[in-house]
Order: sequence, then C-alpha cells, then structure tokens
Amino acid sequence: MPLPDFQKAFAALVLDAGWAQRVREEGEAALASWGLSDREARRLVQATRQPGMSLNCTLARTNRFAPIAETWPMCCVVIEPRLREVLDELWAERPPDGYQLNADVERFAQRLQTDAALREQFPYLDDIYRYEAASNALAYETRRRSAEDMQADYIEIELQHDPAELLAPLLRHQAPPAELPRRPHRVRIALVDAAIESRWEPLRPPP
Amino acid sequence: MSGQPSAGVLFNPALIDFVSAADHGLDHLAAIPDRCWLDHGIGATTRFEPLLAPTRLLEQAAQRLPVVLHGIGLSICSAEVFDVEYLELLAAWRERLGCAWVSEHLSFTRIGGAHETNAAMALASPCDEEMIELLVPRLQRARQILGVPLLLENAVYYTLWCDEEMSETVFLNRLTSESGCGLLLDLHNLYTNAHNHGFDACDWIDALDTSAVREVHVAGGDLMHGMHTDSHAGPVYEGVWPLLEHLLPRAPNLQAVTFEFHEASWPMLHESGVRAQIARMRDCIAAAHAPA
Repeated sequence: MPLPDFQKAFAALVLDAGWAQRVREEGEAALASWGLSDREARRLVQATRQPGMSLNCTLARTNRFAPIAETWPMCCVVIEPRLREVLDELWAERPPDGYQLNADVERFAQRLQTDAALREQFPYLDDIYRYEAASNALAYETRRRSAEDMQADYIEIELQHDPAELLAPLLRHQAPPAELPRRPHRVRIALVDAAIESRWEPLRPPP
Repeated sequence: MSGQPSAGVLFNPALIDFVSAADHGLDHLAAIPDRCWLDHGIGATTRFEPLLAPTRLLEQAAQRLPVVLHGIGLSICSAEVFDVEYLELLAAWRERLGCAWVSEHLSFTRIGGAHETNAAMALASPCDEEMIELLVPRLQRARQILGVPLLLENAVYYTLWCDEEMSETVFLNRLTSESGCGLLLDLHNLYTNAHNHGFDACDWIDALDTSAVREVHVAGGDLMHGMHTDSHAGPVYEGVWPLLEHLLPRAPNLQAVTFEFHEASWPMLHESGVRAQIARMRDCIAAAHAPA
C-alpha cells in the first residue's frame, strides 16, 4: 500500500526531527523498510533536504505542546529546566493518536503524577500539580454543566507551601522564589464567572 | 449572503463580546465546530463528547449572525481514513446552525491503520492522479452527506514534492470540476507558499478556475527559520491585501471574505484591530464592485 505508507512515513519524519536528519544524510537507504516506491522514497528524501522540513518539525512540536501548556501551564514553568527532555521522552514513545491531541495531555499529566525523580528535583511540583489538577477538574465539569450551575461547587486541597508566594509568580508564567519554607495551607478552588478563583488559609499559624 | 461578498471573521471565544455588540460591522461568522466536542476516536463507545460551554458561545453568536462551518478534523486526503461519522456530525451541526456551506482543508493529519495516529499538523499530498482518484468519490459522498456545498481549502506547505504529475492549480481545477466542490481560497496560505517557494501568487490565481471560489480567508503570519508561517497571528499580513484585490474582480461566485486570527492574538488586535481588518476588506470589496 504505497500511499498509506508514504503518508505514514512523511508524518513520522515531521514528528521526529532526528529521523528526518538521518534520512537527509543517508538518503533512500534510510527508508528501505517502509515499502515505498522509488518515486515516493525520492520525494521524502528531497523533502528532508529542504529548509521547510525543519519548520515542519518545529510546527508539529509546537502544535503538540500547545494543549499541554494550556492545560498544565504552571507545571510547565515549574519543571522548565527539564521540560524539553520530558516532552522528548513522552513524544518518542508514540505519535499523537487524535487530531485534538488529548491523549498527549493525559500522558503528560500521568508523567507529572508518577515521576518521583521529577518531584524530588522540583519540590513545588507536588503542590502545583495538585492545584492545576483541581482547577482542571472544575474546568472539565463545564463540559456538562453551565458555569451558573457550578457557582456553589468548589474543591479543597492542601498545599505544602504558601500559595501567595507560589501561585502569584506562576500566574505571570514566572518561576516562584527558590526554597520557600514549608507552610501548609488549605486552598479552596472554585469557578467564579467562568474563571478559576482560589482562597486559602494557613493550616497552622506561622511560628 | 447575496450580491457583494460579505465580510466576516472566524469565530473564537475572544470575540464573544465583540460579536454581541450592536455595531460589530460583521456580515457573517465562520466557526470551527470541532471546538464544541471532544473526539474520542473511531470505535470509542461515545465517539463525540459534547462540550457545553463552547457550544453555548457558538449558539449565542449564531443567533446574531449567519454562520458557515470550517471543519478541521476530516483529513480528507488521508489514504486510509474516510470518516463518515465525522461528516454526519458536521451535517448535524450544519443543520442546527442553518449554515449555507461547510469547508474543510485539502490535506491530511490522520494516519489510519489498526490504531489511528496523527501528524500534529496538516500536511499536503503530492498533486497526482492517484490523489484525484482517491478524492473525487469521497468528495461526492461528502457533499451528499452534508446536503450543502462543500468548499476545499488550498493547503499551506513548507516543503515541495518533486515529480508532481500536475501543478497545484490544475489539481484544484480538476478536483472542483470532477467533484462538484467549491473552493475556500486561503490567500494567506497562497501568500505563504508563494513567498517560501518563490512563485508569483497573482499568476497562480490567474491559472485557477476562480469561478469555483466561494469563500476567501485572509490572515496574518510570522517569520520563522527564515520562512513565512501560517500562524494566524495579528492583523492580515500586508502582502495578502494585493492578492485579495487581484482576486475579487476574477471571482464571480465569491460570497464571503473571512478574517482568521488565533485568539492568542487578541491582545495585539482588540476590537479596533478586528474592525480595521473588516473595514479594509469592505474597502477592497467595494472597489472591486464599483461601476467602471
């Protein structure tokens, strides 16, 4: 089936800049296992040798990242020094499996939740993951219910650091100050006029 | 929408207050219906999960202005995917909002097989006989399902295919005449391709059967890696306006000119920026329809 294989190979090149570079350097031989016709293989090799191929790869990565950044913006800032590496690892596992790219977002969330090394390296990640997961849960609920119906809804979570110092810079897409002291707070998150609103109080008075 | 082409905008959530205002100056809205559902994929127990908030926004906007649909999920050029379920959903939305036509992209993002995957961007296929043979029966079936004209949007492409069997304009002319579909001519896509690949966009328009053009998109873009990109950032790119002026007297069946921008560009545009694009579109349309 040359046309399906040709499209599959082109998509794979766009999604993997490293492989596109190998095809650029090695030519048709790098595509030998794809069952392509000579013309299809020649076309793909020539595509990888055009400046636009690098742009294709960049745009595909940008498109894959957009829904992740939209859903987990604060977590992306918190793990920024390793964000690229985390994304590379996730995306190398498999291509996106839907045009709305939702599965990529779910897999990113799962990685944040389960990667103990990441949580150890970034001490605020646990708090921020919990905060954004609760905010997302409320936002997801608007799929089925109107914002007016949700006026009384809220989710309470506990954060181990002072939300005032943690959340304010992250709302401006800036990293919070390093080494904030542990100061547990209870945070109540609600949806007010279709926007997330948070209120908090310390669980124990500061010493 | 009759007589002179109408002037409109591709709806996004940033526009809700603007569209609700009495003096928005718009004649129509184009809308991406895919924003109103989550697609869990072919074979999922519940394939399309409706999203209440964006649906309400779109319905609210549709009460004020005529809406045409601009789908992004069909991937009509995919060799192994022809998604009748998706088309049936588009048809239901077309009926629900009373749309005069539906448009889709002449490209592929979806890769079929046992487990469907995605390219994460719209990709153009070579202009070959094989693609015409694949597309014509699909497009005829799609028109039947939709029950209104289906317009095909010319693709943006950052790499060229060698040894294509026909030029892009011959390909589009064949597709429209053999399938009965119209064209959504995206002038920013054309500008981007012409700029990046060094051809004359007006010559390209002259080679096109412009009687098939029913809707035009105009948009903005950015430079990246030394190439112009179709980012839909900010106002209409300056180089696109002369293409609109060139096309308008040559497109007798053109019904709508639509400004597209990404909602992230709203802080660059605001209402005044959108109004300025609409006003300039109207000036172009009026100039083309002025008595000689």
